[in-house]
Amino acid sequence: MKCKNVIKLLPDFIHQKITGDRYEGIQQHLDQCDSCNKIHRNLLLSLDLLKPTKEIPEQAFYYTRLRQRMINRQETANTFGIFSIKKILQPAIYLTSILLAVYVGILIGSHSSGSNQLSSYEMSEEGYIELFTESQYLNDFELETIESTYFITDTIKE
Amino acid sequence: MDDSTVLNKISEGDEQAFQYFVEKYHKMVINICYNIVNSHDDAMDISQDVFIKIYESIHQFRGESKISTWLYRISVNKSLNFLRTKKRQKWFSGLDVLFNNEERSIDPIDDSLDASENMEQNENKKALYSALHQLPEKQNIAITLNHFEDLSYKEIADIMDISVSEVGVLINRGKKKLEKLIIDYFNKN
Repeated sequence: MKCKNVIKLLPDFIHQKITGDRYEGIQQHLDQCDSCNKIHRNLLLSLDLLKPTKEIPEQAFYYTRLRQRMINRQETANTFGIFSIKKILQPAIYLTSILLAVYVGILIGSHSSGSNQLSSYEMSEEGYIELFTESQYLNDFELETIESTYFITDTIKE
Repeated sequence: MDDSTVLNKISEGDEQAFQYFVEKYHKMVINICYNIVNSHDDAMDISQDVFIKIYESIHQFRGESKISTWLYRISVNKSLNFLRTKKRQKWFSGLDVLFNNEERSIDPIDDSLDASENMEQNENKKALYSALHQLPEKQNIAITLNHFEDLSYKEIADIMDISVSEVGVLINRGKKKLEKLIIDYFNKN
């Protein structure tokens, strides 16, 4: 019998739900295999601990400590009232900070005009044409035709 | 002084009656909490929470069930709440390890075990409690109350507010799962 099969059958084996050859096969394997035998022994020992625990001994000054804790709780409740800072104020501050950050983000986004202009060019074909025309006018040479250049040259010559 | 008289006096604000009540039941409450959370210090804290809860909600006790059943119920609920919070903390501590690269593990098994016990028994205890904590909550409580507290199915049914047959099913299924988990524990280690 293989270790894997023996381990699988261990719960039934310890409750003696397995009988005959199978039971003897497992028993033989456990006698020969150290690792399976160890698991079997530890399973039995662990389950043996499932029994009423010995009672915890008398606790000295238990009531005094309890009373002190109750007084501390009362004092904390009196200091901060029903709504304590930790429970209400802290989340409120976090929420306000997040909302403020989002609002500032939107505000910054809406005032950046450059990016809006470029995006409007990207939106339509006309935008591209306008942008192209503008860039053409930046270079004065582009505005002069070849004829006019020649004409001026001729006039100078005459 | 019988319990109903004591409870009446506590509800009227009699401190001496409350002290008597605490002295009488604190060992039992600490024991239940310890069996569920498996840590002496945590059990002490939770047991104090239990008595504070009782003091604050004494007028809600209608006397339909036994005082011990009521105590068990509050103790079990408080202990389970503690375990849930601890699980959450464990999850967040996992995140801490991820982001801070720090080795910080919270062992669900408390190391306040008796020092005189040998290593093998400690290992068996570890395996048992680790398996118990991996069980579904109801199965864990039913097995704990039945085996560690030695309560009958009827008493467990009253505490957990379920039927006796349901208790039987929880314990049977829980024990089968528990055995598999213990085998897995020793198979891996």
